[in-house]
Parts: sequence; C-alpha cells; structure tokens
Amino acid sequence: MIEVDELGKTYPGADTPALQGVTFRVPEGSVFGLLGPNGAGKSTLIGIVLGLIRADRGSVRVDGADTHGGAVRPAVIGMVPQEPAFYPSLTVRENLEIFAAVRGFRGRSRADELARVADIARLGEHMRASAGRLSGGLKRRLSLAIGLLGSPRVLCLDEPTTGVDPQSRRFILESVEALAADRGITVIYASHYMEEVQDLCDHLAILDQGRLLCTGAMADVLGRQQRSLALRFPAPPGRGQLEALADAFLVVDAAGDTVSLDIGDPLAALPTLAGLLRDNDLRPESFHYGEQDLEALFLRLTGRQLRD
Amino acid sequence: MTLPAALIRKEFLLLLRDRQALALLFLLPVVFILIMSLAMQGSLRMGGSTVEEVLVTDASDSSASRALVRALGRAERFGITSLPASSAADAQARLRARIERGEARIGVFVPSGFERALGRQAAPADAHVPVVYYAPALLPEVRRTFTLIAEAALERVRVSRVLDQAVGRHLPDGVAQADGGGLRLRERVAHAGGGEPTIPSAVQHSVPAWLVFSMFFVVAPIAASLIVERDQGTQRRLQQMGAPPLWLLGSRLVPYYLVNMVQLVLMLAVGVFLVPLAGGERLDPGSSYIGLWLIGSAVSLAAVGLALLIAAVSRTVVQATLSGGVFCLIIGALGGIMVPKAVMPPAMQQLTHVSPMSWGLEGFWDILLRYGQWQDVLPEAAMLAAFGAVSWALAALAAGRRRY
Repeated sequence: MIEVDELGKTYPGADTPALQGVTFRVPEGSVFGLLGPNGAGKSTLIGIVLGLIRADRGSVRVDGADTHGGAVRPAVIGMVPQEPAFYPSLTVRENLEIFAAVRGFRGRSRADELARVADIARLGEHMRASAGRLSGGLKRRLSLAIGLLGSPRVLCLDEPTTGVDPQSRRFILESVEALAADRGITVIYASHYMEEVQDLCDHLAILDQGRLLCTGAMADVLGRQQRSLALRFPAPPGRGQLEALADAFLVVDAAGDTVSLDIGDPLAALPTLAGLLRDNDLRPESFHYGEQDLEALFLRLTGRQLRD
Repeated sequence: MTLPAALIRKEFLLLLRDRQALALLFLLPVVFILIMSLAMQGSLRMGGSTVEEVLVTDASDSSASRALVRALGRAERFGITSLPASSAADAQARLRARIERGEARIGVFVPSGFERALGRQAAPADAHVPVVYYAPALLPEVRRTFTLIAEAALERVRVSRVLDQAVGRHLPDGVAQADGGGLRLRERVAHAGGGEPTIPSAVQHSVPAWLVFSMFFVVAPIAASLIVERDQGTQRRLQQMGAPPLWLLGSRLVPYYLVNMVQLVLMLAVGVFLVPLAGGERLDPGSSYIGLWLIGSAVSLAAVGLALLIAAVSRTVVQATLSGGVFCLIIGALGGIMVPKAVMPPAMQQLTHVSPMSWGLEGFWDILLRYGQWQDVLPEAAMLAAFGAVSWALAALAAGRRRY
C-alpha cells in the first residue's frame, strides 16, 4: 500500500505550486493511473514517490515507511522515466550490466538478472545492439527492463508510451498489465492518454494544476459519470435556451449542437427535462445517457479538454 | 563488480566509444604544444612598464663597487635593492638562497677582492669577479638584457679606473690597460638542483605552461558529459537506484586522470623529440620523473574537480562548455600561461597566485627549470589536490541539492 498524504511542493522561483494538498491511496498490486495534462504535477509526484524530489509538505509512505530519509530501500521502487535514461553509445547488454551492478548484482546473479529482465522486455536478440540505434519502441523496452532490475515491488512509469509506435505501445501496456497480474507489482502509471489509463488501470487519480480532482477505483470514478445526459440538437441551441437548461440542471458541456447535463436521478429528472425542452422549443435528435469515459469526466471536472 | 567499479567502467566505456573525442583530447594538446613551443621561442620580451628587482650584495664596499652598483641602478626596468654584507661567504650564500626561493629573479654579488682585481693586468681569480645569479623562471630575453647591461656597467667602471690611473692621480706600478685583463661577469642559475646546468631555453619555459593549459582541456568534455547524463534522466535513475552523487561524479576521475597522464607523456615527448626536429630547442625533462608524475596528477585532480563543479552549476551543455572554456582561459591568463608572469605588472604578478594553473606551472618549473626533486613540488601539488577535492565536494553538494 502506498499512502500519499497532503503532499505539497513549490519549486524555487515558481509562482504557483506544483502540488498542493494531494492525498490518495494506491492499493497493493494495483495498476494506478495518474492522469493529467502536461504541467499537472504528475512527474513531480512520481519524483517524490521515488525519493528524488523533496516535498515541502506531506509524506509518501510505502508499507508505512517514508520514501524520504532512507527508510525505503531503492530496490523497492523501480522507475521508467519519460526520457530514455540510459547510455545511447553503449550496447543494450552494457547498459543492463551497469544498472544491474548499481542495483548490487554481481557475477552469476547479474547474468541471471539480465536474462530475466531481457526476457520480460523481449530484448534477447538485441543485446549486442547499440542502445542509441534501437527503434523508439525498443528504447522504451530497454528502459522498462532497467526499471525491472532487482524485482522492485513498486514500478513508477512516467509517460512510457509517448512517441512510440502503436505496436510497441501495445507491448508496453500488455507488459505492465502482466507485471501487476502475474508478479503482483504495484504500478503507478502517469499519462495524459486517457484511453490508455482507462484500459490499463484499475485505480486512478486525476490531477490538474497541482490539485487532485478525483481519485478512487476506476469503476467507481466512472460510475459517477452515469448521471450525465448528452443531448444532440439539429442546430446549436440559442443563449436563452441554454440558460433555461442551466437554471434546472448543471451544464457539463455545451459544444456546438451537443449539450451534456448532469441530471442526477434520471427518473426524477425526466419530467422536468421534458417540460423544459417543450417550453423552449428544443427538439433533440438523439441523446446518450452515462458517458463512460475519462475524457468526459476530465471535461466535467475541469471544464477543459485534456489536451488543451 | 562493486558500485564504484561499475560507474568507473561505465565512464571508460563511454570515453572509448567516442573515439573522435578521445583522439581530439590527445591530438589537440600535441599540436597545440608543438605550435606554441615553436612560435614562442623567439617572442618572449620584457613588458613595457615592468621593473625587475635586482638584489645586490656589495661585499667589496669600495669606490669601484659602489660605482658599479650606481651604474646598474641607472638601467631602465631594473630596480636595485642593496643587501647588507656581513661576511663575504655568508652573504653570497644568502643572496643565492633568496634567488633560489624566488624572492627576486636577479641577484648580483660583488666580492671583496673586486677593486683589487679591477686594477690588475692579469685575468683575476674567479673569487674576485662579480657573480650574477638568475632565477630559472626569468625569461631568457630579460636575462640576456641584464647581462649586457651589467657587462657594460662593469666595463665603464673599469675604464674609469684606468683613466684615473692614466692621469696619474693614483698611478701604481703594473697598471691595467683598458683593453687588457678582460674582466667578465660570471653568470649562474640559482636552482635547487645544484650543479651548473645550462641556461633554460624558451622551450623550457613555454612547454610547462602549455602543458598545464592542455591538461585542463578535459574540463569541457567532462562537464558536457555530466549535463547530458542529467538531461537524459540517467543521473536521476542512477541516484534512484542508490548511486550516491559523490560516486556519480567521482567515477569521472579515473578515466580522465589516465587521459591526462597520456597527454602529459605525449606533450613532454613532443618537447623532447618533435620540437627539435621542427627546428626548435629540445626540452630537458629534468631529473625527477616522480616529481613530474606528482604534479601532473595534482593538475589532473584539479582539472577534473573544476569540470565537476562547472557541470554542477551549469544548466545546459552550451553553458557548461562555454563556461568551462572561458573559465580555463581566464585562469590561464591569470596564472601566467598566456602572458608570462615576468612581464606582468607587480599587482598582476601577485594575482597569479590565486590561479590553479599558476600552481601547476610553478610545480612543473620546479622540475623542468629549477631541476628540483619530487619533494619540491609537494606544496603546489597539495594546493592543486585541495582545490580538486573542494571542487568535487561542492559539486556533490550541488548535485544533492538538485533533488530540490
């Protein structure tokens, strides 16, 4: 179990905090998604979890031990950072050997560990290749293999699929899934790809501008969305018509000819809604109840598209 | 393989993989030192406003010796400082010791029998002839200039003496003729090695300077490699995996120390073998290879330490390479590498003591000019090693702080 409590961080010289009052729990063995746009605070949060960045306030505990102050051994947590984070002029094997030695592997055990992580990342046939000449996908796999050295119990991945081809992306997602399912590794997966997080993760936290917007199990978080009703009209509604709808319901989104409303209990809301549509001469072409995706959730929480 | 061994191996591999950069690290200093040695050998001249201090011990204390000192004092750019002469032998030894210690670069000793020797027709005994002591670090051009001035002054005093005698005021028997007797100065280089070595050539002066400067060439590549490692996230990953910043930085020391040692051997070899082939004077490598190794190692430690510090305070590769290069130029200029200390104004000469390159230069001069032994380079080597260690510690502190 990873416990993040009241985490706050402001970088020297920055006007706004990178993180403020962030609190959530990561259950053991879960694939936990950290979702948010660039600058939301995901990398800072991961840096604090890894013990590389010092928080101004709050704490991160892994099984009760604070990640700062040396209570958590480095081998407990593995990282797959956004950048390549290996030596391009060295071969795949040389890179793995160096990082394995830093992890404390010697002699025969090092060779075994190299074979193990190379097998997971399917790097076997590329061991002699220069790391700098690998394709983008293979580079990510090498980075993943380095992160897995020493069998960490927690693996933090920061935007691991950015800039990779669909095939490699699929491979990384499947590998992460398998690591959690087969080896019981707790995964913290930071991304701004909502569909990825939705497919892969069983828990998540949504961050924006350093604040935690929502957190919990994926099913619970998306379940809260089911109160949303999207109405599509032949033409965009007028201002007066929108104001009439907004007087009765929370307008989640109004873009073009589609308006999404938070209607709460649908059975109770329908008579009011029907009267409103009739009185304001609004005739929807179609409607969709319960948008079950993170994009709509993020929009609802922030009023912005994730990739704004 | 232990953690330090793994990190050092990593540095070796990275260095060996970039063969072009490695070749440049060896080739550039060789070309550089060859060109500078040949180009500088005839170009060392006295600076415009510099006054070279000349220590004078007048054991003769006669009218002739006083006339000689007055004549020397009239020379431009040389300032006479008279020392008391209690007993002749002791005074001469003390004067020589002061030149050896570098308190001044020129010393003139006028022996007690000088006036009598001046009046004799026969060639005088060595013991009665004035001696000029030169510090090895004195530029050859300055030495030659002073020798000419001193010989002219001596000749003037002798001629005056002969003329006095000729007009019969103090005419004794056996008067010396103006063209006879040939009273020549004795030139000595006062250095710790003893003996009577040859006067140092311009190559002997310039090679150590450019050698020190070239050893600092490693600053830019080390600093840049650290910034690249940081930008690529590799340093964060290594730190997260448990590698302490002190080791991450220190792993550079071993490979680049070896690079510096190869540079040292190559550059000395150029001075000894290649410069004479190209028409220049041969470098005399001195008599203490241990001393050369000691001071070379200390310069290397200082250069690597400086590189680590520059990398720690730089944010980009451009910043690191630029500040590394410019900083080396500044401490080179300040340390008497670009402009010989001897031609600097006195205030600037004092300022040279703050530059690590000046410490390195003095250390190499201890061996190559003063013909000292390894013990003689210990003060400079200690200062350079301390500079390197402090820089390394500050860099590790800054790297640790980068955790925000």
